[in-house]
Amino acid sequence: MENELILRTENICKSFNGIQVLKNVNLEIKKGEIHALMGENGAGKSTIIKIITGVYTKDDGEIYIDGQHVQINNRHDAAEAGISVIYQELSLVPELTVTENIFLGHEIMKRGLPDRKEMRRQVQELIDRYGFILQPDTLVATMGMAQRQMTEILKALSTEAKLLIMDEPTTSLSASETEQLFVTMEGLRERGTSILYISHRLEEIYRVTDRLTIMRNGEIVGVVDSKTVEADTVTSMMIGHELEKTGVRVPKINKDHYIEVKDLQLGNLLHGINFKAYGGEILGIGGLVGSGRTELVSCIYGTIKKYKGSITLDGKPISRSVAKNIKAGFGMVPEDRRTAGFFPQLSILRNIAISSYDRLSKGGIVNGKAEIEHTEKAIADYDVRPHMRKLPVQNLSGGNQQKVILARWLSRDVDVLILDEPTVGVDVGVKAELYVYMRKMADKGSIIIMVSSDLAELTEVSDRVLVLHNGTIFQEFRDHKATQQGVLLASSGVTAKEGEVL
Amino acid sequence: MKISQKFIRKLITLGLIVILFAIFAFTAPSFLKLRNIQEILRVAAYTGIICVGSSFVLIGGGIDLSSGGIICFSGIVACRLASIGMPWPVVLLVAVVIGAACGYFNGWLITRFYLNDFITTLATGFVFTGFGLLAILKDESGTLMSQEIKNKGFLLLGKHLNGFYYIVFVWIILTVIAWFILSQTRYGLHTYAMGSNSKSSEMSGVNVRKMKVSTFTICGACCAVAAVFTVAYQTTAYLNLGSGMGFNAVAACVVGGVMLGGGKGDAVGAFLGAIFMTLVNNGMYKYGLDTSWQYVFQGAVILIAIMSDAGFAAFTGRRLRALAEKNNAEEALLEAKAKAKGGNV
Amino acid sequence: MNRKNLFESVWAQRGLIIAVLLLIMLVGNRSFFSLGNLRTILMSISIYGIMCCGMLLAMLTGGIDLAMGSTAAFTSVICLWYYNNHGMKDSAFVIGLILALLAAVAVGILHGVCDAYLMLPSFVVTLATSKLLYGLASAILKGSFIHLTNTEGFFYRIANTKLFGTIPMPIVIFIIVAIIVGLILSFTVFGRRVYAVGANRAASELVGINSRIFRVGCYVVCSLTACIGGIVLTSMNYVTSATTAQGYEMSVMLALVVGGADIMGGYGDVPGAVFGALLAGMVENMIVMLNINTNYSQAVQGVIIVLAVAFNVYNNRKSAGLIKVKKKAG
Repeated sequence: MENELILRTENICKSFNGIQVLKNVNLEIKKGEIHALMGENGAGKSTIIKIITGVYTKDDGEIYIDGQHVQINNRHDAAEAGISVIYQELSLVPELTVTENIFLGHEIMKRGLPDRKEMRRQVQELIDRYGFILQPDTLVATMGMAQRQMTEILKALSTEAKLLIMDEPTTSLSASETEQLFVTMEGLRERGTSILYISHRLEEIYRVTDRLTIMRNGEIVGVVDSKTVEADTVTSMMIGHELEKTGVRVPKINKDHYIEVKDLQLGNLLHGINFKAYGGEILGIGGLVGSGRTELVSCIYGTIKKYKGSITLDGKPISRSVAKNIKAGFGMVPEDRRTAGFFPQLSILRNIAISSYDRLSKGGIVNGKAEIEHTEKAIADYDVRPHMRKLPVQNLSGGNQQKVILARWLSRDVDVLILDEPTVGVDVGVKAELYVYMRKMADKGSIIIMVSSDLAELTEVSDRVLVLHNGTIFQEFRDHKATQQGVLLASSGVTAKEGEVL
Repeated sequence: MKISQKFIRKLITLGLIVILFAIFAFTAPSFLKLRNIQEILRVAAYTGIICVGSSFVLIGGGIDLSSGGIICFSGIVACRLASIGMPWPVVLLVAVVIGAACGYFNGWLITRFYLNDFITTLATGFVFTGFGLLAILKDESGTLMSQEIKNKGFLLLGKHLNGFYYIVFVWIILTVIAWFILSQTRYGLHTYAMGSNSKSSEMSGVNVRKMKVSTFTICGACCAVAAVFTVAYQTTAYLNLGSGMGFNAVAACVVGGVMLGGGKGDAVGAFLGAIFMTLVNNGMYKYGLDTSWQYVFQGAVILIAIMSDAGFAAFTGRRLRALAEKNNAEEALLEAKAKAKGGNV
Repeated sequence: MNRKNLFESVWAQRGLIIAVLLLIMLVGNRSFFSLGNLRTILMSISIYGIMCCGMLLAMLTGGIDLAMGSTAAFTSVICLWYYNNHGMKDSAFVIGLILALLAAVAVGILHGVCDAYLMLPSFVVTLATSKLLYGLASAILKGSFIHLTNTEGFFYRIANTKLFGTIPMPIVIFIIVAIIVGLILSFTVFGRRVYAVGANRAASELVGINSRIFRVGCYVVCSLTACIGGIVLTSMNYVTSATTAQGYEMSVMLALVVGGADIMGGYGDVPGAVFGALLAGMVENMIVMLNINTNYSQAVQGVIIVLAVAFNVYNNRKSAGLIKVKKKAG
């Protein structure tokens, strides 16, 4: 039994700032299997992986590789032990060839020079052994994503990895590329390499993996045979006890105030999108990363201009200019607040007031008093802490940074508010506050569109949920009928019967 | 498909050089004289040796504008040493050590304190010129004095062999060495890797900090070599020695396809770039245009070069994307074939 | 950490630096403190100061203009050349000035378009245009000088009159430009948006700011101040040539970096820039007063730039990461 396992962890525990994120995790991966790891965001998947690969150090517990007890304190230890990770953001150097990339950092040397012939031969051998469609001398810059991924895998194999960890490798792959990757993975399995496969996509789990470990709240809740398990079982294990909906809000929907998207098409990212978002409701948009959610809201807001189809507000076509849309009452809380949300070195005041100078200025001159009043009110209304308008936003906590961005829009009574992953990296207390502000906004009759990967948030906060799958609307959940399980299934392209209790 | 983008880029530069040469040869008076060709080669060698060093820094993703200061400092020291009768190998060695030390200092500052390399080297360039000022010969009152080198052995470095100045040979040798290091050794591979994607390289085990410092050190050493030979040719060193050369070398590299931002270009490109820039200046001079127009043309050439380089990069980028898509399409085709086979069985 | 304390401490540091310099001069050369020398310092920094205000805008939005000196030379040559060839009348000066300003706008647009739209590295572009403009100025004058001989005209009086009989006009112009740019930066929507573009380009696009146009605009302002500086300098020296204001961009950059501006954008303000210009002028004057070979001044500048950049980087890194705000109610 013991020597069938390539990796076994025993009672791994890990806490961050006193919050336990992993509780006695016992992960077991057999030799030559493709083992899936699933769990919602924050379930602890990436933490356990970072511990296995030496990025984090564990607080407690043991790791056994091939039955041998090992100490993994850094990346190097992990590589020594035969563990390799294929990163989501590929770590290849585009200006080098496949061979050069594979041997980068550990070139084979002959008389002080890299032995190109030998390296090329070894790479060719690897390619032949695993049957990849690759040339050793191709420049990485000229390759497609699937080929890059294969190169990355080869790089891992060249260091004699026994266990490959793939963290959502298919997010940026097309359907045919994904299929290729799976064929590759199956080839690896036949040759005895184990793969730990992390994914949100149920269909992939069925397609390629052997066993499945499901995590929830830092614990392993089940290990199942992924060929036979029912989709509902998996999702209910992931979600746990489906929460009773507390105090379902009855939205006062104003049918005369709406945004209508008609036949929207954007390259091969979005096609045939039709829906209406009404004033007074919070419209949730679910789906996996890469399903076109962010692109959809970017089209509405005007940051993406080259789409086909029509988007109208109350029957009138909306502008494709962000500035004009803001004037018309639009607001946007973007997905990544650090790169596109706040202005790190500017004060809270500057960050909040930046969107409202149409009101806070006259003839191009800022009305300083109004600006301060506006900000102070926003800081108080939305409880930004600390209450210091001059503090640079980079010194705030994540939740307060998000509050600042939200306050930027809410303080000017926006009419259409688009939120893209509004609560990533925000602690629970602040999350609840943000939801209250959003509801208040909706009650005032505004149109609110929220993109989210957080299933609880999507089902709890939204009045209606649209789930995107591969660039189309796969399912619509009306009247608070959205369940986490339903949304999760729909995200993977599986329809659950509406209202069915699973 | 076999003809690489790199090769095309070099052909373009080479073609431009040939065209320019032909135009000047037919239209500019006294351009084609042997004496002038020798002079062009000598000046090109001076720029080219600095370019060799600069190309290391540029390929590694940095920029060094302090070359002028390093040339000034090491050149003046070389002049002082030669004047007191030191044999040329000692002079050359000391100068190279000084140049390398200056380069190392640049690299250390930039990597240790996370400074912007452009502004840092711009500033250290002045500092090195200041060191040169400290080192230069002065009378009691502190007035600068020109110093004529009489050291016969040293002055030999500035002479020529059958019309070819020694510096030209040095240039060619250094270019060959640089080509060898960049394209054949692990160090070269890591330089490209660092310039192309420094984070990935670091993850793959390349010591990016050390590499960066070393590229600056090489650049400093090359500058010193150029300085010593030029001092020997001019038989003296002065405070203006090398002024503006930092930027000129970078410009020549860029013209030769060693792009800013790192990971692109090679020693041969830098070689061609140096020839091209020298040719432009010499041709302008031979037309009898005064120096003002030379400046105008230099500025315009650099502007056009970086603009067309950006255009070329955009073009290559599109081509690369198309290639990537094509590669995927090929895969899909193969895949479909494989499936069809499987279906028949 | 209170924002106010931070502000105060920056000025405390600046005060300390000035105090140390003054102390050195107290020991080194007392004549530094004469009223005449004070005026000399102010005159020498007035040109830097005017240019600083423009370059500040460019640096705030993440650009740099190393062609400032050449722009000053080129535009002042245009202005004086036209003036001298059209009867040295005040009306000719006005037209010359307009031509010079138009030329500056064209240069600024060229820089801005290259940086913001073609995404070319700004320092290479501006170094190249610097050569180009230097060459053009020199070509117009065929490599020689052009003198301002009409001592009655307005052109001459720009720099050679004194406000209230005591304050030289260049200083007044510097103060006016500083106040205007300072007011624009602190009290207008334009100023708010300039900072936003410098702090985070992507985020500024999302709040409806066309960041590219702002960057072009800042380069234009930058070239305009170079033009004004060049014309004042010409009036001050009664002469101009292609070498007018040569190397001034270095002093300007030094002043800005010392004043807390960052070439990556988002940091810096007019008071800081004025302090920087003051310091640059003082240091330059001190080198003369202490009988240090003037050739060293550039080396000293280099050292100061490296130190100031390192200090800024340290400060910014500290305020971005090392100082954590404790969550406290109220």
